[in-house]
Amino acid sequence: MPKRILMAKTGLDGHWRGPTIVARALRDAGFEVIMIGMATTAEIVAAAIDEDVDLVGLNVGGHIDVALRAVDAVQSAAPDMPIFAGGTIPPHACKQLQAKGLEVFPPGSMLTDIVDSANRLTGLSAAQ
Amino acid sequence: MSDGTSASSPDDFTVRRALAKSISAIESGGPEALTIEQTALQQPASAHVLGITGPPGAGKSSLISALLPHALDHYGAVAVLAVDPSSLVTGGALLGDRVRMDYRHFEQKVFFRSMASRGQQGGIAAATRASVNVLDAAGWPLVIIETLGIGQVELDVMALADRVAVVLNPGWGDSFQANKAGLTEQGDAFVLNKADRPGLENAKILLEQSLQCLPASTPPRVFTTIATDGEGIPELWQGLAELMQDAAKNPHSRRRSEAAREAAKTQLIQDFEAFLASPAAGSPENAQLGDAAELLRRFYRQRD
Repeated sequence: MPKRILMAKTGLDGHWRGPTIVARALRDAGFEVIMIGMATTAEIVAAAIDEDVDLVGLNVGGHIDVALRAVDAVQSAAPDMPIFAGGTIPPHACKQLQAKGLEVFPPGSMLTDIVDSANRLTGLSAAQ
Repeated sequence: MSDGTSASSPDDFTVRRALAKSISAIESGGPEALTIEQTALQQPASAHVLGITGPPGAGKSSLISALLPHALDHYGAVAVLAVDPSSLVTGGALLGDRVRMDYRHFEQKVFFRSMASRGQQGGIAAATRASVNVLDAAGWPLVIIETLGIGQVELDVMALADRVAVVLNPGWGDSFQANKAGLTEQGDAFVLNKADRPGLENAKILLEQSLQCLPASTPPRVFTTIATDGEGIPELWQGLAELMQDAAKNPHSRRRSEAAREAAKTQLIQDFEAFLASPAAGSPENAQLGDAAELLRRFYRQRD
């Protein structure tokens, strides 16, 4: 059965190219990728629950606090649901996300690494 | 099941997760999926089922987004099953129907599930039928099925939804397209969306002429809309609501979703019998499911 991934954008950043390219790579790797438009934290959580995804991908745009709130909300509603994040994230913000247990993909990350991470986090390959 | 996954206690994520997970189990198939649908089918049918179909990019998702406030006013809560295609090469899918949604209307009153077609060729997923029945049993009063972008004959939704709207656009085709078999034969309403594009009047005339040749005494209505700015949406909703009321009340036009439930029961018995005859039924982890299947088989035998 294909694994399901929610691709969400946090904050009001309107740059779609990054998450679209990542979604395409994940699609081509055999995942079902659910794209959600610009959404609030509550809307991201509701989508993750309704869609019963195996992994949440957060494209972090705008202020890091918004992303951190989304992480907290997903982890509170569905503690067993893994999250990874990517986007134009400054180093100090990467550390904040990593401190919450996320794998983070800042600019310069390889699509193959993102796909490997998705495979690991959804249990398709053994953890490192 | 209605107690466990009721739409009336929407703030509880556990309840909502249980519903979402039962749809995942249906998508995974196997004996658990059969048991879930069987449980759902023991509840009396009450949900109205509306289908929205049409070619890729016609505006099906945008129309649903625009119709949702009206549907919520009318029904109080709405579930959407939105199907998009799976890759025949990798099995992956990009499920993009949510991108068009205006979540301000959602709150907890909309259950929205994106479904990949997973190899099905009829415009919906194999799991769509059972998912409708589960949502019905869980108390969702209206289920909207959005098909993937169809061509001319992928019309499985017609057998599942009480009424179906076909979404097309200006420039969609000439008089020969309008008179081809398939798409224009079975819709209950037609929508020419993106009505601000050139060619609207011509498309409307050709479509209406084709629909007038159908055997029905009253041909399906043709609505014109611009989903992204709301033009024509109240009129379209009014028309769809009338169609749904007619489906629910008219004794001469039995609701198709009820016929689909009867067909589902027959199919379930066959699927259970196939499972019971398979080696998997004898494995220890499936022992309980085998018992459930046997019970189901007796239950439906008694019914007949």
